[in-house]
Amino acid sequence: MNTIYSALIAPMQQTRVDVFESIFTVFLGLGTLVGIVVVAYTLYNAYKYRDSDTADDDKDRPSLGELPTGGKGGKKLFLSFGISAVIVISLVIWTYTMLLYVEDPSADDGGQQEALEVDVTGEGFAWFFEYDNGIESTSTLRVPADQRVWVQVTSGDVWHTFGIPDQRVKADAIPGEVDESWFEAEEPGEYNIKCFELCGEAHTSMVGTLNVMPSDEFDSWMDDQLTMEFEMVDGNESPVTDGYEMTLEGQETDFERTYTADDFDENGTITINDVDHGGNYNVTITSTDGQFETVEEQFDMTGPVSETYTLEMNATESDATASGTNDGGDA
Amino acid sequence: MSDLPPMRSVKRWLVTTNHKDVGILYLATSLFFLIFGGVLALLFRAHLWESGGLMLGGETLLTNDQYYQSVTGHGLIMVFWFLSPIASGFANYFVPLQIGAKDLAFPRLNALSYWFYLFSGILFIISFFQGGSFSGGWTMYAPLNVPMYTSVMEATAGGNAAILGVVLFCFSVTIGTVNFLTTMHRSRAEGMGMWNLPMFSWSWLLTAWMMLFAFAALLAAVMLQSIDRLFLTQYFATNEGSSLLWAHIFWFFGHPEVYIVFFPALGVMFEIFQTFTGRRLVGRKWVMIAMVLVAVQSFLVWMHHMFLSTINLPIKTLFMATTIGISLPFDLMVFAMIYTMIKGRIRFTTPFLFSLGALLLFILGGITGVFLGAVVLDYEFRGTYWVVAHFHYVMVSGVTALIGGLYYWWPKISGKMYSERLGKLSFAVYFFGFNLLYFPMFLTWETPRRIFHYNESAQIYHQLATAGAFVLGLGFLLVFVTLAKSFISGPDAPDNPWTHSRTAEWAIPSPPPLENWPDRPSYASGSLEFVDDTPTATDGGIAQGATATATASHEEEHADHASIWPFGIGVATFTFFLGLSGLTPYVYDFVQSNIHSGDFVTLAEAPPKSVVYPALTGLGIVLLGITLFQFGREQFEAPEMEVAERWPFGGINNEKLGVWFFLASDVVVFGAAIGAFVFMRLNMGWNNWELASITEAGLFNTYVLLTSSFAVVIAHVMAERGNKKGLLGALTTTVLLGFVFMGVKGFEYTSKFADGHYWFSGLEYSIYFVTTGLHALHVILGLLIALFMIYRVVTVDAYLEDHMPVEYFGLYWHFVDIVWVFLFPLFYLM
Repeated sequence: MNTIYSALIAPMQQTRVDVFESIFTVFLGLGTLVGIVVVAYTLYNAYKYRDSDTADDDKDRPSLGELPTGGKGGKKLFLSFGISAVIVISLVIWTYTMLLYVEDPSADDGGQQEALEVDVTGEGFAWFFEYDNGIESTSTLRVPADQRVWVQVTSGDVWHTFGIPDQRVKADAIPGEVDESWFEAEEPGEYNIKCFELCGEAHTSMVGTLNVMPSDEFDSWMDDQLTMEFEMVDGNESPVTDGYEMTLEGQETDFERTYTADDFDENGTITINDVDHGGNYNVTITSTDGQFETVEEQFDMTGPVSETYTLEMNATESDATASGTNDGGDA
Repeated sequence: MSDLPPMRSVKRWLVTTNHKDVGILYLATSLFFLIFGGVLALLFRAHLWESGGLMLGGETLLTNDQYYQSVTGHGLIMVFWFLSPIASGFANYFVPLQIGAKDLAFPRLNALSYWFYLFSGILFIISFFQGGSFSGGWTMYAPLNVPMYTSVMEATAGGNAAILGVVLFCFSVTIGTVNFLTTMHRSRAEGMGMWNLPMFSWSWLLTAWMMLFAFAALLAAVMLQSIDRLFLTQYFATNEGSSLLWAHIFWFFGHPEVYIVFFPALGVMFEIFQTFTGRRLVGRKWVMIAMVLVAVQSFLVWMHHMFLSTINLPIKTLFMATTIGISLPFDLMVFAMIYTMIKGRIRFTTPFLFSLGALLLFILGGITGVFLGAVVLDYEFRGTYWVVAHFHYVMVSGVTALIGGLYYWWPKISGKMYSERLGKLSFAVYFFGFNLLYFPMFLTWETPRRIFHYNESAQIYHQLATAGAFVLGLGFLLVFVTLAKSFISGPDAPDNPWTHSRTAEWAIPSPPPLENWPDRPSYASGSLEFVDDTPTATDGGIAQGATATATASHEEEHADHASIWPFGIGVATFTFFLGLSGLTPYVYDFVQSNIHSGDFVTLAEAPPKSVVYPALTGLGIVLLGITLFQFGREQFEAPEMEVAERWPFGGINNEKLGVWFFLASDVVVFGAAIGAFVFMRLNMGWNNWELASITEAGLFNTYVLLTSSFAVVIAHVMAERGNKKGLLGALTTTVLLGFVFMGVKGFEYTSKFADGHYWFSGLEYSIYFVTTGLHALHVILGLLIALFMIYRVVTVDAYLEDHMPVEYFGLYWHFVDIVWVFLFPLFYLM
């Protein structure tokens, strides 16, 4: 009842789950009541006016061959028509105010944290997620609890529908269109993501997981995603600890930093934590003492990056290859 | 030929054009498809016994693809090949009886619409054996419905055949609709005004009106889809509006369709309630008006199937309002039935049990529909079992009423009574099975549609539903057993087994004679009488009597009841469509060797080739030519009623009215095709449209067509004057100008090909070739008709006495011109 009361009075600042529960409960209650009343009334009349062996004193029954006309008493139809019109129209007007809220909840944020935005793409029986900062993941969507999350949903092939039943959020994934919706998860935990539009042979297994984490856990997960680790090795795969400089340049942000060999530890590795955006990065490794030719590489950061660069310590040949894993996000 | 072979011969059923026979054919065939669609449902409900699919000996009952073929086939078969045809069966049999007619306005076309229906269904069944039928859901969403362009579903000849089956079914419906609308507006008995139509006939009239426009939209949609599938055009393959284009056209059809399916059931309920309560329908006038409101408004709610797509909030609000609005007239109709019971003397016969049961089920289904109209709730119900449970409650409540109708009218059709005990037993099992099947679906409403992996907690509900499916199946079986037993060994039925029934079908024997009535039925006196119109009745005198009777029976002989050509055209069309279904790999090869530049979506794979298909296509065209020619030549008398109520179409004859109805439907088909062009062009940005067109050619062709229309007018004048040479000259001029038009068009098309622009070379060219091609097809058909007419003038001096056919041809030809006048600026000037 509390939810209903608060729903009736103040639809603002509720999650979609609250909105749905309150409307659904009212409709269910009213619908069941109306259903029971009407069905009971119907059965009552059917029973009361059943044929019996007593003589029929109504001489005005329909007879074969009469020109079809109606019976009397049409006016009382308007009573029930009026009552149901009032009920149905009030219900719709009430839900309309909720619809306005659901479509545009930011109007009454009142001190809410900034919302998280995620691009969702359904393609070939899996869900792909991309955060604003370029971090991507497949099938598992991690979000912080108690924070509004906006999803921009589209498709990479056919018509899907992205839905998280426990959060009461759903959006069509149509190729070429972007459908926007939001949700706010209150309880940490794992929830099912399912597809609600037939999309091919494996539609039935097109599932994902929503992982709702406490805010601080989410932040530290995101920090982990934005971590880069670089290792410099030579042709024999032993660490190189001096004689170079590494410039890291973000293509989608202003980020540009140069790290000297001193910044690297004795294993020739460096961990960079202060990047705040994923996407394309250029790496340029120059030799400070002419021992190898400049290495120029590129990677697309969609998750934690771990790269090993081989600096061929040879005056003539500089054969630098990059190998390593670019973790494209969690599966 | 006019003599019908006896009922026990096969030939009788192949040649009959009598509405009662055609009605029986529709009823029997639709019940076969009920079983077919029902078995598919039993298959996938069994599969749903366990999450992940029922395991039998280490393997699941169905593979994924088989599961989706079953689900899709169940939907398509039930909606198209069962629900409307069974209602059509009752309508064929009883509407002419209820309105006092002898037959439908166009008896051969009536038979043709049945054969198209049957063959479209056979084509659909064959599709399962052509590599697998269509498996993208009965709603056929884009771009999944053109699987040549995506790897998530296999593209098979069977998929093509299934869609072509729907196309052929649309032809059946269009012909049937034109026939019924003409009949109901022009063949009512004297004294039966529109307001006096019995409730079943009234509901069928509105159904036919809705079908005329809704099925035209569906025809456009499945035709475009078929062309995409066969010829690799790209209407539904792109990510530039293809998905939404399909959704709009399909649901514009899809929503009226649910009322098309339900209205006849509603009409049956009204009849049965009146008969078995012994009371006239309360508020009948308001009920009739409410039904008209629903019929009109049904075309204004379609976007409630698209609330979760990217349509904007004001549009969603509008459609929410119209959707809620449409629920209110139904409320009025439900209460009209309830109030009709008051002060009645209700007999709980099997028909009444089924109708009362249907009412209760409809109330429950209708209430759950209001939930779906509240957009915020709909957001969560989208794609879940709430929707499935809702529409099964309302639609299968319709089936429940129609089964009641089957028991109600069974004595009239078969001449036998059924056992009430068996009938009641069938009702009890049916009603229990229905609720056991569908109510658990509400309880597990969160399960997504069209999946078979579900949460543990949902399993009990799915298992209950599966059990319910088998019980419901048993219920249907009991219905068939009851009727079969009656047919074999039941007692003879009287003319009228039901006290307080009042419509005309109960005033004649069970089963009725071929000509229906002993004399002309008339309501002029306020109740049904059979009026003897022969002069003996008024003039008296034995000598005149003899000649008069001779004239009367001469007229009786003159009405024909049999023709083999509707069956022949059905076979020919079936052959042609079956051939078409396998053409994709040949077109694919052609495309591969002719790709130059432009937008071309890479194909995933093509189905295997078989030369049988092109051969069947060619054979089909030849057979069509022969059968259509013979149909045109055949002497078939279907005399119009001399005395009838015809408002509001009193001043026009049957054929002309039929042509107008047909053209109305064709307007919607072209409207959808042109609308598709406008929609896609707006979507890509109106000025981003790139299409090289030869303006001079288009302009020249416009003059050519307009002149040819003028020539047709001259032809009509010549025919009226009985001037054979003038008529021939004018018709020949029309045909020659038509050939010039086609020649110029051929030049335009080939010059585009020479530039490397084919119909598959991107969205713009797809739309250009298909839209102008659709128009060109109409021109070709018109030319074929005109050539036939020239042949008839030369051989049998046709149209010099009865010049009306020239006028009908003129109407069609002018229509084709007007369509061109729309196409020309859109494709050449803008």
